[in-house]
Amino acid sequence: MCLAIPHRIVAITDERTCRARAGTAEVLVRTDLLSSVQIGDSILVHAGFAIEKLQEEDGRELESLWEEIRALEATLSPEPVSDFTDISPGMSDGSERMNHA
Amino acid sequence: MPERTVPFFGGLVSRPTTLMEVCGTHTVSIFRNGIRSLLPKELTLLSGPGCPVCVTDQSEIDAALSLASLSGVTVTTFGDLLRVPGRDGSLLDARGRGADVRIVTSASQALETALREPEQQVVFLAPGFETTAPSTAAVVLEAAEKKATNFSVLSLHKLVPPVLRVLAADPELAVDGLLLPGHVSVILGEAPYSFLPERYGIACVIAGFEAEEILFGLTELLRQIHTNRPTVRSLYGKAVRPGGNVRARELMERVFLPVDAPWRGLGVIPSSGLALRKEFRPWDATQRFPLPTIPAQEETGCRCGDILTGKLTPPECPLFDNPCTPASPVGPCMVSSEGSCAAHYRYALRGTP
Amino acid sequence: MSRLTLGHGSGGRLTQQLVHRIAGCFPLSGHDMEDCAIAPDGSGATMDGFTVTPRFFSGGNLGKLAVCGAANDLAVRGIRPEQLLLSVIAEEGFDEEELLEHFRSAGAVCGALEMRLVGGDTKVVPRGAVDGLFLSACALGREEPRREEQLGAARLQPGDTLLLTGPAGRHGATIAAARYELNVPGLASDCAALWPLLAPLLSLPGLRAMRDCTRGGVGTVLCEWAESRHLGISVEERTFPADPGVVSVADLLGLDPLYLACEGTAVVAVAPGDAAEALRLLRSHPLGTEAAAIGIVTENHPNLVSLTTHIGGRRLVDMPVGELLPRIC
Ligand code: SF4
Ligand code: SF4
Repeated sequence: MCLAIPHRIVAITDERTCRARAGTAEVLVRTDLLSSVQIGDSILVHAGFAIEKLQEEDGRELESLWEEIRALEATLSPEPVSDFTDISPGMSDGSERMNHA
Repeated sequence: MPERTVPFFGGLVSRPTTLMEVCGTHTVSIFRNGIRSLLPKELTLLSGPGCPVCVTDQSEIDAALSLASLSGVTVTTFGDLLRVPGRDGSLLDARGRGADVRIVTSASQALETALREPEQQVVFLAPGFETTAPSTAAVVLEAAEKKATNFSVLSLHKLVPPVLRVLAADPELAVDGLLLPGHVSVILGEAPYSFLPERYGIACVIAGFEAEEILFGLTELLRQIHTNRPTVRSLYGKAVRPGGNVRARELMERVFLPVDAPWRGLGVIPSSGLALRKEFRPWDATQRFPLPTIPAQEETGCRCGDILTGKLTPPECPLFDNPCTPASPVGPCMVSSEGSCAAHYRYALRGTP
Repeated sequence: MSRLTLGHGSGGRLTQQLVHRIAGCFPLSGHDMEDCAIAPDGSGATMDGFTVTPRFFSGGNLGKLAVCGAANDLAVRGIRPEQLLLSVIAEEGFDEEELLEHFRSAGAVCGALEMRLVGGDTKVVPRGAVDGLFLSACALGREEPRREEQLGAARLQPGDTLLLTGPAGRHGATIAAARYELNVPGLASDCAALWPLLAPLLSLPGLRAMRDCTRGGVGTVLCEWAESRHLGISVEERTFPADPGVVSVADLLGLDPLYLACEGTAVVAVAPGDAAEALRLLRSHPLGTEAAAIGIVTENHPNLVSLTTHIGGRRLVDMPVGELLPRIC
């Protein structure tokens, strides 16, 4: 529910602040909520505070989930997915779908 | 990418299935990426109570408005809170009437404002779930350390597990799976959600916020539902440790105490809010200023509770369109452009300026 | 009791509604109410008021903004900006050197456009009555070449191609970054006079309409076009030129680049047959090197703008309601 953006630490300013970069933007970030940080750490920042260090993903878990899903799908009859025609953002009842050519 | 997206859902939705994203950031990302348009008809996606801003109660905004009307008081808060309506309009309206209401993007900016302007009483209106509450806690501690006597916090913080407990216990809620809020989980870890699959058989996935991560999370939910093995699974392992962020939780517990709190459209939920502990009274705006006793809940007639749980569609709410509109919302679902009511409103009534 | 909010001035739905109510006070008012009026003899006039905080920003200042803004309102209707009137409202105590700095920037833009300052007005008001400096610019010019049918949304046809002359949202992102204390190296406002970029397009017979995407951004222009002609518009997210600084600011503040203001970027609608040539002309000018075709006008979904996202989803682009506020969630 809360916007949190990965940043990379480029400098430690003091015991509770660092400078960190997100894309091309550089901002001051509070590090109070983490026990230790270093230059180069990748952090998740919410409302000016780092809320967690990000681990580099090795993707292994996702890969294994993929395998499970593929295996599952192989046991199912392939069923065509219905038309992708809804551009309404909040609609869930499908009552006001619209057509795109 | 679309080629890969389609088979995601292909055979996994064999019967009508309802999933709910609990979190506003998921809602926004689902909206921005047009994910609904990629879902098969049998799959219904509901937007849950996942927006800490939208669920801020009218009585809480009224308290904020009465603070803003005091002379010598500067109210600081996050931008999204400015539009949320109280009984006499929003903070944006108050600013239009001359109140000193300023937008900050971090709790620490609020304290900086107080330190920079010692003549002024600076109040930080602090909305947010577990993701945001620890940063408020850190700033309260800093204010105490720096003896900032002109700074105080009006805590509007809310907690996620209690509201999920209320939702899950609703016998009419027909939700097969929950896409859980990744950022709240960063703080809480996985454990607080385990009652959902265990007691209620609801599939749960903690997912990130990129389009691909959400599609992936939905797929995993469908897999759990299809195989009838609901559990709590995190697909956001790069940020969520199973035990969450312990240090952040400690800060939060040091400063705050769980209290009953009003949720817009949902009513008072036991132990779902956070108040400052006694030792932080000097920084508690409810102690520092004479706040009018505001009824915990205003009867607005808003049916958001039913909409969030999928019992009603927005046009079935008697207030929809009259008087509840995006420009003057009555309930949380109309507050933000991604809310269910706002989306219905714009969709049905567009083109008539 | 209804009071104006900043949202009424931010260019989206609330502004649109307020303008309708204002026009309703006049027994005679223009039927299309575009940003610029064109007389039957081909002369055009526009006026626009300017204020910005901060007054100096990367890529420009208030003075440059005022002249570019007014001149661009003419340029997008195919009118060469030739004359300028400037009205100044300054707060008592305002630094004269700063005032002149704004006018030197304004003068430089006029010089490049060969635009002449022909009049204006200067007021100094008591301290507190305005916040620093307000400028209003009125630009006058002449259609070049004269055309039977004026350029404008009324000419849009199903099948028309939509071009965007550069990355969306650079001005808005620059101002937001300054206001919310983000340091974004490389990000600058797109504030520029569009006439030199757009003039070569004016000879294309298939040119339909052009709009500079100021307040409310590209998204608002697309919505206004779709609504005014009761046509649909479909755009493709992946074709939009993007600026990395805008993307960073938008991510951090939870804003949508589609709604961030531009001050030197336009949407151009052309008949499909002229689209390739229009794009070539745009790209051969330094202001248009990143120009791209972003979508089409369609008979489907009248009044609505649909965006195909990078994962192939579709969503509605709506007009923003009110002021853009940074979000935490
Ligand atoms: S709907 Fe808006 S206010 Fe609510 S969570 Fe989402 S962004 Fe925040
Ligand atoms: S239409 Fe308004 S009052 Fe009714 S449920 Fe939605 S937000 Fe609440």
